[in-house]
Amino acid sequence: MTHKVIKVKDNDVVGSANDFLSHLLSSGKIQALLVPQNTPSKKVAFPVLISDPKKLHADIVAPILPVSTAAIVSKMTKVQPPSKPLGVVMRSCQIRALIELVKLNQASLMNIVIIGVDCPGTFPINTYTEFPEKKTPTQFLLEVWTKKSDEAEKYFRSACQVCKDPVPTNADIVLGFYGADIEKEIFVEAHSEVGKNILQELSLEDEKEGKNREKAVKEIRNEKNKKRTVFLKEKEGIKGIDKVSEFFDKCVNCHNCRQACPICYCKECLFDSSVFDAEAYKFLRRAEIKGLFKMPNDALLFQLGRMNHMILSCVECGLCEQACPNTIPLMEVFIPAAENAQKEFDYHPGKDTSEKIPMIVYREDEFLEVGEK
Amino acid sequence: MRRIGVFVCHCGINIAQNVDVKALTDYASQLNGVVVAKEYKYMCSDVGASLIKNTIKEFKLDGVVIASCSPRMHEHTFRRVANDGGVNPYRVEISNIREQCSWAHSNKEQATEKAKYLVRSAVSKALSLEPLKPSTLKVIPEALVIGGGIAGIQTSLDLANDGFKVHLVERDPSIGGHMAQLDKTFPTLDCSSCILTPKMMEVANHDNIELLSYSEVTSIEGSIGNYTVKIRKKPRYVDVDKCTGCGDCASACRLKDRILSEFNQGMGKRGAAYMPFPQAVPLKYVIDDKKCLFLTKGKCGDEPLCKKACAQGAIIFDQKEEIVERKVGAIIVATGYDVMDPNSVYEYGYDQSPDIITTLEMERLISSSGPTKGDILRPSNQQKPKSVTFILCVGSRDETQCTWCCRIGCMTTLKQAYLLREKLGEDVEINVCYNDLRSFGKGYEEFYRTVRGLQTNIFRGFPSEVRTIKDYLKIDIFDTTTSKLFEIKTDMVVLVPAMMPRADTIEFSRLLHLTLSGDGFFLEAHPKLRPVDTFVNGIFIAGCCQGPKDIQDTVSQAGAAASRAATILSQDELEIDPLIAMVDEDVCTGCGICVEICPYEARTLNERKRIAEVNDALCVGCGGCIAACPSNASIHKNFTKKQLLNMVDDIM
Amino acid sequence: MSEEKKEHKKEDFEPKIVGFLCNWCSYAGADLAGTSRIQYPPNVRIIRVMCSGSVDSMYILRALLEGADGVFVGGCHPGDCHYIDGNYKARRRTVLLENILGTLGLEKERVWLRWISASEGQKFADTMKDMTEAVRKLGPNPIAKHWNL
Repeated sequence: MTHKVIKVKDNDVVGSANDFLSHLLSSGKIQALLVPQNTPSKKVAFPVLISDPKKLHADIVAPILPVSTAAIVSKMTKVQPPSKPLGVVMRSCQIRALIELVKLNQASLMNIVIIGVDCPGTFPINTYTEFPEKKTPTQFLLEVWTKKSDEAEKYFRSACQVCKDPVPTNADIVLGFYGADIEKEIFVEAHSEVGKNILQELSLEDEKEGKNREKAVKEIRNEKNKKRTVFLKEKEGIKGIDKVSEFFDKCVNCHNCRQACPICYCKECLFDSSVFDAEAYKFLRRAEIKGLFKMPNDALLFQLGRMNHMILSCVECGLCEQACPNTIPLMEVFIPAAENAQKEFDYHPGKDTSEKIPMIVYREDEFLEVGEK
Repeated sequence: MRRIGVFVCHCGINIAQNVDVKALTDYASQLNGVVVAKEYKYMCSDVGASLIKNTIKEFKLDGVVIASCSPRMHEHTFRRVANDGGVNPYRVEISNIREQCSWAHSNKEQATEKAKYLVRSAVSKALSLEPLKPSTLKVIPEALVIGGGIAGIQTSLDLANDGFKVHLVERDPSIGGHMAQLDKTFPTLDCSSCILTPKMMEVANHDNIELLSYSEVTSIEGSIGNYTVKIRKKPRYVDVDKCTGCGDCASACRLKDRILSEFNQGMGKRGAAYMPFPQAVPLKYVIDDKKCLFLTKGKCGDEPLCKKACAQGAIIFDQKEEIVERKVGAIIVATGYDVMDPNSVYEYGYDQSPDIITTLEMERLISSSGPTKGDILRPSNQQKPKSVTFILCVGSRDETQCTWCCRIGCMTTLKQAYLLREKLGEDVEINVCYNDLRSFGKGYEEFYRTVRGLQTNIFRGFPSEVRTIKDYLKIDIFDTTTSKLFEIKTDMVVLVPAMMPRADTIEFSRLLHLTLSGDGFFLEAHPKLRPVDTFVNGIFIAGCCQGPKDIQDTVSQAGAAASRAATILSQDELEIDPLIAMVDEDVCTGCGICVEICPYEARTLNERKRIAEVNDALCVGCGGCIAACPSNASIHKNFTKKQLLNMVDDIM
Repeated sequence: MSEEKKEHKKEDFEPKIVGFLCNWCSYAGADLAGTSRIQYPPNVRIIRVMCSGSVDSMYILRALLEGADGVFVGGCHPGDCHYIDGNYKARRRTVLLENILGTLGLEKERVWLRWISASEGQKFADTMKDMTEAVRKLGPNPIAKHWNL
């Protein structure tokens, strides 16, 4: 592992990071960069594919995740991966999602240089665009960070509040804030041979505060883990059909959640397919059984069915919840479900491309109690 | 709009007594999509079939639901009837209202109610059944037979005589299998080698048989009608074209008579250059590369004596293994059995005394080609035994070992008792400890009576243990017919060990995608009606690899397997069942889950199109890929997700 | 509420059970139960599938949401699958489905996966008796009264 730092000039974290990225891009080590950059209105930061270093005005801190970066990398690589290295700046949850998509043959890591960024958390899109404080979300976040206060917590999306791991793993290069005195420097670490080769060529100063970094990472992981445990305990209450049906009551079966989900990789969702087309008499017969039934039908079947399809690979990015037009707090159900299911199969989505997804493997001597009696 | 006809069968009174057929028919006629519902006493009869055919024509039906017995019974019949009537045979759905309704529920009201749900869900499926047509596949008229025991020999000869090319693969240096080790066979006392050797010779000389001895199958790809098989020919270190079988190499070998002979069950010796037994086929020598000094140590005195002795120059020490490929249309597995290691029943002390032997070892003692030239001598002192005691069911019918019956133990014991009496005369005491004596075959019971008359002591009960005391063996036995506990002193104990699946059966079953039954032998497709078929089309089983059996049954089964294989090989083209998987290319994302999950390697990923594809010839229609696919890209023809969901809705 | 209670009085409640049986083992086992005239409650309604490994969890969810009181999946015994390993895959899918139902408190006890061979007619009948009684004890599927799913 190579440990370097980016010196922060004039207290401008974002600008200094951009100098690094711009340097990286003009070095020719990567042909282009996918990185969050604010749109001209400054209302929202999207992943932007930049090939001209002069046009780079990225904001790697911008606390917003409007779309799944993993899904974008999937789109760009699944048909044919780039022939020369492409840098992609990603948050940890999106790297995890990307690893899952690679397993599912929906993305390739060939010539993809993953630049992971420590993620403090992100705001819902509308909070970001209509930010109530008198500064930009990025400035606010950096200030809060320097103060080490938890003022930003209330703005974070629920998924971010209980993030599994805000520090990137499986990245080639990591841009680290945790443990850094961000008024002075940002950590730059190479976590792979590819990353190492790239960093070698860029003249960066060596990291001196390695111990701090290690400690801070451990701390933040502990802290998030604690919050997650509390969250899981709190949400245990959504049990039983009464509660579950009430929970999903506002679902209009629009399937936006699955559209936003990086793991839902199907071209056409089963629940949108002709499998669910039916003759009028079939609807009427189903009404007859219960005397009445709500339309559009099968919203809960969709929710449970989708969960059944993706929960083992769920990286808890919370994009489903963000996509819900009726603000159903989906994470309250999906995080506990993911936690339980993944534990059951001892599966760790996003950890390793060689870890096989649980539904394609089995052992003869497992779950012996299921099916017996 | 679809036009479905429902036909409700009374099955005499089998259905009618517990299901109100009239009410059911009336109910069915009201269902959506049903244009006519009829009832009849026996739908499977000629009259029933005519009724169905005429109704199809009269009402212009395009789908048929038969409410009758299990589809496992008559699905095929009714598909044919529908086809004759002009409805695609795959647009027939059977509602099982006999086995799973009228026979299982005697409350007529409840049974009728259940039958209605079952019929409604069948109609629901019938409405969305697609007309299908089987596709065809060219057949390679050659067969692969794996295993050169009597089962493999018989199958090979039958097929070769039918005019098909046969590739017979045997892993040992010679064919013959266990039968070659036997002296006489029960109950007729035919000399085993006298009846086997001519068959082995016929195999060797048959124009249609390619014998691949000392070879093993390493991979099998393809499907019924068109398998590609890879076979590893192990090096014999002997040029079989030059070897005349003279035996000069064996006589010259420095290790002559220093290696335990497998053929003689370790009771005789051989050298590193050897012929397993005098009647071996092919009659070619082999050099044991695990023992040969030159092959293991690189040095054999100044030079290998065998090489020097061979006038033909047939010894080739640098011979390498060779992988050959054959294409065949059908495969017969005849890999035989293993004899259980009697040490696993430790109380019988097999490893405690050389005088405790197995029936197979006794065969070699009795055989005139055996280590004692047919003299029955105690292995410990080479003296004639005064008393020999047989213990049956060693490991057989035993919950802790093999739950099954070996089916040859009783008769082998009786045969050996007969032969011992013949060879050793009146002097020898013969005891048999048994639990049940099973002499079930033709002429077996008569043979049993003959042996009873030869002063054989037959005790019903098993010894608690066999103890080795100085120069004799002691057995405590409780005879359950006389309720007496007594002691037997004996010179030799012959254990009758269980018959086991071959040690590599599991590994081998994976190679061929075969299923095993609970006992670990290969599972037949149906115990009664498809006894030599397996669940993999085009692969058949014969002999003891399917389960213990005697030579008679093995030979019959081998013939049956050959005839089943010939049914395939005699056709130019084969129809492939169309109820298999397919891919909706527009929906498939090429994630590869189905490819990983398919145990038949019937699915491949088309990297260019980024979709999964199905090899129709390999797909067996299990539907596993359909459940694994999160979208509707994987489709199981006529078991689609939509059809199943409709059935679920309408069965409630 | 009182009316609903009356509607679902436990004693006279007949559970509706949907059964998915694999063609080679469980379905044949059910046939054998019939052939042997072994009686069992008529509550189970059987859908034939080729393999327990072909049962999409969605079918089970659909049955439960539409108001089935129980769902039964029958497969070949481990090691005996007609299709080599379909039952092992069915087992994993069942574990996942039960896990999800468990997390949401949706009575995973209503889903039964059992191994029944073609020769186990008696076991099939016994299992149907056991399941009918177990589901009767659980009471009507509470999902049935929800029309807003």
